Amino acid sequence: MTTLLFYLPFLLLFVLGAGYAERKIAAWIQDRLGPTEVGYRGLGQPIADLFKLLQKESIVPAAANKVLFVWAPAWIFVVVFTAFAVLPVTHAWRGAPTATGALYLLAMASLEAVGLFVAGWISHNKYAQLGAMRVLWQFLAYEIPLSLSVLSVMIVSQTLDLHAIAAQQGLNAPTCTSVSACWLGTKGIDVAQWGGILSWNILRVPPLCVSYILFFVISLVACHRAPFDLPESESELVGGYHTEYSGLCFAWLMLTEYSMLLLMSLLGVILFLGGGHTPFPNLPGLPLGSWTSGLAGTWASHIWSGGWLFTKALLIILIQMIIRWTFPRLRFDQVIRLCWQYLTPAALLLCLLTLWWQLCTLD
Amino acid sequence: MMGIEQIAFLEILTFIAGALLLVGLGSLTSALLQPNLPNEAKLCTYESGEVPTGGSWGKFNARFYVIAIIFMLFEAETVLLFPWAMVWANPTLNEATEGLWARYTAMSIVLFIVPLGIGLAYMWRQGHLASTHPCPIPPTFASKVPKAHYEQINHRYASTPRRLQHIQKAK
Repeated sequence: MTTLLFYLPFLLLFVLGAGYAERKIAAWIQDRLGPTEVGYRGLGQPIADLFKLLQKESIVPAAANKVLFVWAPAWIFVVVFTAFAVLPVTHAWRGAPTATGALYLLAMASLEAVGLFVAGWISHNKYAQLGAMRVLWQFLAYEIPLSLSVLSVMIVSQTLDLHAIAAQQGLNAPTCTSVSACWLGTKGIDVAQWGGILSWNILRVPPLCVSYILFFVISLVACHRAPFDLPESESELVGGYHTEYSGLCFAWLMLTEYSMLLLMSLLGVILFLGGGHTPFPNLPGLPLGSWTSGLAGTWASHIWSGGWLFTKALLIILIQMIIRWTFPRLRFDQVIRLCWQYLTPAALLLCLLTLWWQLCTLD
Repeated sequence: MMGIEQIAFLEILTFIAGALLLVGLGSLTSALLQPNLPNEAKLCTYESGEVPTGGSWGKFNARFYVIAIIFMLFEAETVLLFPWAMVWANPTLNEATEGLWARYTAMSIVLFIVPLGIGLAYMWRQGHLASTHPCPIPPTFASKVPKAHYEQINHRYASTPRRLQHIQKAK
């Protein structure tokens, strides 16, 4: 059964919830109240905003290219949403069963930059044009370390299928002879029997722990989140690439921004943090792992695995939101320098280190 | 008869259809609800409230072009690395060669990655990755004309800007 039935409604709910959470967290950090008027503690605010955006006039500037101006936000949303097709929902409810899953997801996420560039460039506005150029330069900066940090997982997992990668990181993982299941490389400690956090990629193969930190930073750059939100930095570029956008077209841009956030954190959870597997290991005499996983094939298993996957992803997003409201923005050349001088060599080194680790534990 | 890959991409097609459906429904609802009252001021390009001057497609600094070239190089490299990662420790091949396969593939990729790393280090050393921050160099040219002459000319031809004239008249 296609995961579209889950992801389409979930994404809309997520964007409403994330919008509210973002404003409340910002208010909490800045010692304000945030939305309070609509509904109980302002909970109705995102719904009110949605209706407001729906009935706002969509203004297309006279200088802009009409067709591309309207279609660019739709294009961005379609490509980012289509990237969700390969993500699993639970252990048994998997995404599109293609063998090229992770590569496909990265490719679709990259196409977003094209749409953002077109949206900014076609607005025929000076701020939007600067924002559009920044989208492209930032894309050139983050794409390589992003692919390389994903590659370091591929060296371990030997597959691009996200469902299979998630399945390798839990209790009773399917035995893949060349993938070491030894904890920290110690021979004899087989974590497939223990499960829990011990068999997640970050602990099973320690270089991947550093790799995840890299991935987390790069996902902030890829989602244009502060401290890397240069393409839309409101204090210098008004709105960056979406300066001219209003009404529904603006709503698509916002929707895509939050979708991208969810996409990247879900990818990170599946690649590094055990996907839908429980963080509790099965200790001798205390099977915490089995208690929090449910028997395979039952409804309980569906609920536990889906619950863990999305709890982890939402926690990561929470951290990203706190980062957004506490860190100052980097200067543009600092972003480029960070990505090319530090993240790219580090990602290359980590690939070699992971390779060395896998070779040592191969036999 | 469809293979598993065709089924997968059919599923991806349903995602495209779902996204387009949402875009269509949203646009339809919005079209029914929103007013459409364009006027000249509304359709004007936003430029901080000023009347926009000139187009936006002017010159921009392309000083990052070297990075774009390095990007192409590394992107091609990444494309080659992904298929390698799929087969480098293939269990069947590894068993058939008694573990030699993984060692040889690992060695070959190290020989591939290390020169690239050296290339990156070279670019760093040449300053292509770091010089993106503009450092203006003040000109060292010493003019034969004394500076006071320029100031004299400036003073003589300095006229009050038009937008300040009424203030002067009031005085």
